[in-house]
Amino acid sequence: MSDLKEAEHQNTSESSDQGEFLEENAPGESENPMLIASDSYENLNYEILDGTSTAQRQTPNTESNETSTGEESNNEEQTETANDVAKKKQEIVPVEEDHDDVNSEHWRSQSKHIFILSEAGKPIYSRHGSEDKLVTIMGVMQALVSFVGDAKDSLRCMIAGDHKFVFLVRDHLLLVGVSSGMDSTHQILLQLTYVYNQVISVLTQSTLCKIFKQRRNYDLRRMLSGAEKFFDNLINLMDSEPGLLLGAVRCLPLDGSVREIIAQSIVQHAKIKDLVFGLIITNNQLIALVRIKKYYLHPMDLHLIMNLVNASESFKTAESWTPLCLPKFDSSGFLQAHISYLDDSCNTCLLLLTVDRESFFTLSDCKSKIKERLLKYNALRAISDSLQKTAYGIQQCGINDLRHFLYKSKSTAQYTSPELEAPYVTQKEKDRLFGLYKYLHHRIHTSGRPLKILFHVGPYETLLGWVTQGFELYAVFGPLVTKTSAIHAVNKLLRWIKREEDRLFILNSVTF
Amino acid sequence: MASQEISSHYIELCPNPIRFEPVGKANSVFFDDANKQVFAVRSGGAMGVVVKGPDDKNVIQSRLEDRGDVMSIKFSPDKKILAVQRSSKSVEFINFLEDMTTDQFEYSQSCKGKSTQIIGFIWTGSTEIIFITDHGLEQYQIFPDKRTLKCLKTVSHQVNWFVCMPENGILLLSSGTLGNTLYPIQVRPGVLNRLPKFEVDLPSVPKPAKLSLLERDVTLASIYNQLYIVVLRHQPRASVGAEIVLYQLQKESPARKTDVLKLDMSGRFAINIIDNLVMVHHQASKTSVIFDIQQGSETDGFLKYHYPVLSPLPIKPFKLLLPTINVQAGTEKMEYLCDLYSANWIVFQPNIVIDAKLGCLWYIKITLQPLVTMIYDKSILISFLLNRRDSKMVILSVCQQMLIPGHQASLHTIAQVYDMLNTVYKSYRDTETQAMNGEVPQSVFNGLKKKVIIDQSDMYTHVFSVYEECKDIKYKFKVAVLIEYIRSLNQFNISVQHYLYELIINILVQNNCFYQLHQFLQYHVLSDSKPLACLMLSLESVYQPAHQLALDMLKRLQTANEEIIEVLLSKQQLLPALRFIRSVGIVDTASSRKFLEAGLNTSDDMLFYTVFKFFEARNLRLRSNPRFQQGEHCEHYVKHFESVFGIEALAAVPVS
Repeated sequence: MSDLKEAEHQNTSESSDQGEFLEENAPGESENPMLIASDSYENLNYEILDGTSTAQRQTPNTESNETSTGEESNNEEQTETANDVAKKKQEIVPVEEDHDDVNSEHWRSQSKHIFILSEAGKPIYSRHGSEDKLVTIMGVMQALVSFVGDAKDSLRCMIAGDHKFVFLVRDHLLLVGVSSGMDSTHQILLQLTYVYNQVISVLTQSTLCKIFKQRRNYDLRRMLSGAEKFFDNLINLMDSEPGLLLGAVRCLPLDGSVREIIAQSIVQHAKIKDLVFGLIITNNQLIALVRIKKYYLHPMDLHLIMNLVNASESFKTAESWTPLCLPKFDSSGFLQAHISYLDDSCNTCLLLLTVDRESFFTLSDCKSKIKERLLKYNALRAISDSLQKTAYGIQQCGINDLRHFLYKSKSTAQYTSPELEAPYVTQKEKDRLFGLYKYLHHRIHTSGRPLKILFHVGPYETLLGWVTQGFELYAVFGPLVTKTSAIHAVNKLLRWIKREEDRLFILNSVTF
Repeated sequence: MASQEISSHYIELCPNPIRFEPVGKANSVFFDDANKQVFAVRSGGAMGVVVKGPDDKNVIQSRLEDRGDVMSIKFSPDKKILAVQRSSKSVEFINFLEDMTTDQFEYSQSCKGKSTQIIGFIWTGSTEIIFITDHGLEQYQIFPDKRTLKCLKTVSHQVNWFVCMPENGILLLSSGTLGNTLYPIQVRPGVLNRLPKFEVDLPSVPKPAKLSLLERDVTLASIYNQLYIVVLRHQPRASVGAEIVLYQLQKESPARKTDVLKLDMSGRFAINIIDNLVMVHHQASKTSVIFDIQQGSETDGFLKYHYPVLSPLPIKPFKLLLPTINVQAGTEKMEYLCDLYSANWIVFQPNIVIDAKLGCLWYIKITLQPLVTMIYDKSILISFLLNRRDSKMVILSVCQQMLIPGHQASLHTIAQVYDMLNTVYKSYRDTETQAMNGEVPQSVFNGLKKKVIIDQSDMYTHVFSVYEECKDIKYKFKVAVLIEYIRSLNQFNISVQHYLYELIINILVQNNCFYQLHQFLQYHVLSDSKPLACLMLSLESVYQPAHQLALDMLKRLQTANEEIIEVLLSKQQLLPALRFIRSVGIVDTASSRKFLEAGLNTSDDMLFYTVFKFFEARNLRLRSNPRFQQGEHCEHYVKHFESVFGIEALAAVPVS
């Protein structure tokens, strides 16, 4: 009826009628990647689902509560269930108003909760509040899962109002995520998988299974004491770092030659038997990665490594030698990690991962040599310069009305995005923007109806998502942009990224 | 009782008849239908001549030499020359001066030929006269100064009698033994133009043949701007009613018989033509009937057969005030009830009745108000009234009556009536525009002006005003009637005035029929206009979607961009407003200050950012510089932007 009205409400469109998308070679593409191409987020999910079913062999997955098409009728059922649960909760949980965390407004208003409990219902971890005080509510969660499990079914998620409750059962552990934000259930599931992998990373899967086989009632907190900071840090990272959502790693923008020098430094000085990976990271960004030819690193594992470095202050004081399990690489055993900072300001961190438990001093030698060579070639200076410059701003792309974007090269499992600038200056706006990316990512990857292109006009910005064989692009424009000009803009952006790809991505995989 | 009386008479005699001295032994009276003057000639003029008419004020008193009985007496059109016929051989002339005194010197003109007899004469100009003789016509030019006449033209023709219509310059000559061969002649100053002759068919031909078509049965009339020869046709047997046959005069071909008016009576009749109606007075029954040849009629494919519009009714009784003979009563006057349809009545065209014995000349007229109750069918009534003069107020009151409970007409009838009104209105408007463009002569338009035109403002002030006065009318009916009227206007491509829409909207709003209102607007029953859009905007408080309807309407008007922007900004709908100015291409001229102010007022920094960036981009495009100019007075907003987003968020000034 009216042109005005149409524009007033948000307008989603999923076609590419206007303008022409130039599908050229995806910028940042590499035939020789060093990371396992985590081509899409669905694949991750299937892995998760497979894992679930293997872990729950005793309950053949005949009828599941939520099929992957995500039909609405199911959602309704779930809502009903959730309501029932809410009722039950009130009946079961004795109201101890004075000091029960569950009833405090502060606890309830948190936008995301993550819980870990054992199959027996023992609390292991909670993001907010103390596990001790959440014994009852965790009991309810365990009861819900086993109740549905008794019916030879599995509980995956419940939706109650704004809240989504997502359940993941793996290796005697029950992980529950509750979110009132923009996360989709699949995204929460991915986050739970990260948390589970973090558990494995500390314990290894075989240890975990062994413990619970011996004692179902075991209080895992004893094994994980001191690891809470890793969980906290990881979950916070997931709320701000798009890399975990995309299954990709961000590289520190560096000139190709500098990067070459850095990689060669590792290759030359750390060519030692049993050294699997050597890598340099800074501030959640990858600078260089060297690997044994037959092994690849999975981005998920890399994120855990980054989380490990980020979450511990102790590495800053001295070179460290720590066991580390990389679940995607080998979930049953530990690698030994030599961790050290190369600069005084503790930004640039060198990690050398080996299977040899006795090689600490050898690796310490390597580190010194590497550092020496990097200093010699001014590479450390280049790194800190790049860090100072805070990557790059959107204005450098020179595209009108483009506010922000995420670009993921699928083959290299790397992504790039500019710094957050105006108007996203407050934390609230930054969070909102990340929420929009989650929404866009969800709409494009929704298992029931995956999309190639999505153009979404919102009240404050216009979103454009575009997924091809080679890349995923999520762009944010001002709300007034037209479809045609947005398409022109992303084509222009792709050309810009292509021009800059040497700087933004690590295209050559270096091996020992 | 009184109202009953009023309503049963629709034919009236004018209240102030022209009085003259009644016909007596010494006094004879003549009527000149060209000048509408009554001549009272006493003793052949020796005792004086009194001329009155056409209104009571102009009285000419004079005196003639008595040279025998006067047969006919007529002034020239400019009243300067008086023609008097005293014998069948000659006509005398007397010059009159400005002050209507006469020099008493007569001069005379005889007709040509020894056996020729003058039947009568007519003035065709101020110094031109035609004698009609039994042998033909003789046209003369008069030279009053020389007191002589000069023969201009003669036409040879056998003539029984003639009828003349001075207003239209038509002369009709009867010829032949039966008198039924009629020759119409167009007479204008200096022109005698013979039109094709035609024959009037007679109900029976007497044996032996004798004059059967008489002068008194033939009348010339102009009805609905057409000239007709009206022939009263008596049937040989009294049981069959007499009828009136209308012959329409043609320019190129013989007059054509077109209409037959069925009288269903027999006896003596008199005919008047009033307001395009044929009025027939019947002496025996003392009643009159009217015919309207534009009303619906029966037809056999050639002729139209008409019946009286109403059943026969008498003329309204007329009371004449006469000085009383009673001395004691002093100056008091006595009422005298005139004898209507008396044998002394003589009828002249178009609407004159003279009672020679009483000394009265009346104009007959029709009062329309009583007809309203007599004609039950409203559509017939309105179509009848639309053809009448001065019927506007009557029509409007009928239209109003149709809406009042108790007299309410069906919607169907109302629709028919409105269509009739608008047909006339439309043809008037069309001719008006054609006349303005010079496609149609002004005279045609002036002729049309005389017709009754009912336009929208008439309907609004005189008909729909009843909605206010009469609270009993159901609102559904009110709306339905208005919609009918609008429908009719649309059908005739007449643009509807917004006050009618306002009336509908107000009725709907008063009765909470917002959904109906919404539909009317959405389906363009109510056409778009700025006043209507403003009205809709004012209704937003009672009906929220009215706001959007108003905006849509403004958009469709395409001339209300400023208003749309104002409305959107007032609602803090900044993005729609920006999209709108972009879509209509007025970005370059839009006031950045106005938008930034509205953006600031939303206290929504994200929105403000968008607005700011929009105008930065505009500035860059217009002046290759994103900064605002001094004259735009945007410093305040720039400052706000910097404080929220930082100076680096301003677009960079390109280095030239």
